[in-house]
Amino acid sequence: MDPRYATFIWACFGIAAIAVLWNVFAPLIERNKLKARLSESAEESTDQDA
Amino acid sequence: MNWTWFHRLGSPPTFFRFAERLAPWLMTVALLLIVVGCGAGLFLAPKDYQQGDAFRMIYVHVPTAAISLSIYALMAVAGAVALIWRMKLAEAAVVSAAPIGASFTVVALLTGMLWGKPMWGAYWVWDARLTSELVLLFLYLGVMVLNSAFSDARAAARACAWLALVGVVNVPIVKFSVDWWNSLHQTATIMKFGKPSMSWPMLWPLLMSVAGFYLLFGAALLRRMQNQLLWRERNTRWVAEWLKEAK
Repeated sequence: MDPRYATFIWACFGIAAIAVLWNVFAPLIERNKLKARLSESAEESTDQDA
Repeated sequence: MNWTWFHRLGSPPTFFRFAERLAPWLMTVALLLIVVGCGAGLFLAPKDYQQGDAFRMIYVHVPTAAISLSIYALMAVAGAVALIWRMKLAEAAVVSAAPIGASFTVVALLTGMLWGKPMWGAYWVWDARLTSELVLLFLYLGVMVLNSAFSDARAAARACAWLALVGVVNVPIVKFSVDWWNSLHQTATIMKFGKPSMSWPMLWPLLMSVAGFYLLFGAALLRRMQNQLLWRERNTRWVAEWLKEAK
């Protein structure tokens, strides 16, 4: 690869890789947080009913 | 033809189960296509006769720029459906697509800047294409901010739908800016009448990369819509049952 452009090219692919990984993992992390929050509120309402 | 399966997909629990099955497959195929497409673009495609190796940035810049426009157009369609038919899934689609679209717009802008420096001698010029793409990013951010500004999810989604509909006027401006005004940015390479102006050894990795990014969007959208539905329907029986199963 031409050394004049190598930094630009690798930076370009690096930024894209970060965006791809963010799009893969961000919804999964959000799902786990949501699951924990919903389970917590479900347990609270069960306690209140009891 | 029996369309009941399609109508059933409009129901949140049915859509949730459908997305649960489809998303992992979409994500796997998307990642494979992106890795192969970008890998081939980096290591197998021949150098461009004018730009040399610098042209390899096309394998991430073009797919992300194309998808940044497509996502906004999809948000406008979903916004219209949400406003006219008050469909919950369309509302979820509008607010879920915005962060994905914003991320790809940021990548398109940054990779464009990195390509601009060695080719044009500047990271940024206030060119019609670059400026309208920046406006697109602000529209995505506007939808995201608007969504978080409301406590009622449905009211937020309706406001976002209006912004998506109004902002869609910017999409043809981004797309045709290079034809309408004098621009440093080159005109279309693939999506144009007649043959694409790229040779096949350069073109196939680009097509794979484009397909990969579109599938990645599909998978990420399904996942984010699922999260939206879980939150909006948190007081329903199907979410309670899902929570029990997921434990």
